[in-house]
Amino acid sequence: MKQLFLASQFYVSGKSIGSKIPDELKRNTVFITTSIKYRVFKETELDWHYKNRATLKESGFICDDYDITDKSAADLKRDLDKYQVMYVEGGNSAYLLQKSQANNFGKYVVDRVNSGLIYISESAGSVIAGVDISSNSRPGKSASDYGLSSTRGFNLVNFVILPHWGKEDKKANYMTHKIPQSYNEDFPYILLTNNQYIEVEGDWCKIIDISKE
Amino acid sequence: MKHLFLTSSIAIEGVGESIRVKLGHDKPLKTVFINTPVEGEVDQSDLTWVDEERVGLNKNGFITFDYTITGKTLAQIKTDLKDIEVLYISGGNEFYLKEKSNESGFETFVKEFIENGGLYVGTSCGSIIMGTDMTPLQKLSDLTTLTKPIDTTGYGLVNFTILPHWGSEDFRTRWLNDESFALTYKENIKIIALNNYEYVEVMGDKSRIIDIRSEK
Repeated sequence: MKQLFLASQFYVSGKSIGSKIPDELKRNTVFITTSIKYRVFKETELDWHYKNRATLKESGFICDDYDITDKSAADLKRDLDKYQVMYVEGGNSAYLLQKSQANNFGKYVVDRVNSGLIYISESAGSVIAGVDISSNSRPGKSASDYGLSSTRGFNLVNFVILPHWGKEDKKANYMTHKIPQSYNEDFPYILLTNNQYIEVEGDWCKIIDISKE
Repeated sequence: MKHLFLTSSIAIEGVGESIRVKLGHDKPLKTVFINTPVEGEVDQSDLTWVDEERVGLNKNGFITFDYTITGKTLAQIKTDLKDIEVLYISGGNEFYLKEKSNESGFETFVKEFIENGGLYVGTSCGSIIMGTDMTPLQKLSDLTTLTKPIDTTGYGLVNFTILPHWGSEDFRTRWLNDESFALTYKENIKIIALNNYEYVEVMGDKSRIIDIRSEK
């Protein structure tokens, strides 16, 4: 049965997610790094990313890093088939989608998830798991910035996640871009705060708030 | 097991049909249509939307009779509704409904009915009230019909709050304004923005979002 854990900020909710996955599976995790490869960061800008890595480690995940950029569909199959858990990092969902469209990574993920691969993600990794990424666009992270002909996500779930909801530093982005872009009768939108994640089992899901656990 | 259908609008063609298919029911179900939220609407000049909700239910085997909890006691409510098969709460003013619930003890009836396996269907206000926190909806509803300080807590039968009619032109100015955004943009609420073609089916502690357009 399809099993996903879609987080807004993994280092906040990761321990709760980790507690729900057997140790033997966690020891066999691939960390998809592509979302943060869209530009060169200063070390000081990656605090959140290192916290995610630390939380994975503390929660029993043993990860190998993998960047899907310039890989072929055959490479993906050869390199990733051995993993039982996939963690998709936050960053830039438009960039990740561009790289995914080049090698059909989305189809690979869907096929694997339907066969039992556990999908874990935060932010951009959770956005791309949904139906469409366009409502999460903002300047520098939009379809036009990456020449995307389609903004369809992996469609692992039938809703769109708007991550980091309620965070003061994301407020302007939401007011100016994300809310106006989301106000459509197209998809269900889940406004996900950093304390929350969505646990998906088959067609059913639960929104978990770790501050209330 | 708790079984709820939380719609944005049961009046939309296909929503009631989808629920009927999910239930697989083929007999008339005695359904109480709680119309108390309608009483809390300031504009009573055009209530055709209430009739449209009734049509959406009745044509799908949910045979309705109207009922208001206003002025009732819990004992009266339990007596009057003792043989219903489906509890339906209409659209309208959720804060007015909550006020009348507090006065009558209706919330106790709702929880007992659902926890004992009764089927629940809600539209708009009737879906919002099932959540824990109705704070984001304060701009959506006119509060002038309240006679007591506003109570923004829902019945808590689901742990999220539904923003209904999302994306609809009719509600654009009510959702897309600074005051509404300020009430909604908070870290302590779980929010699902639901358009008129979608509903949430709740089974126990799990939910799924159905878009009726994807079922055709």
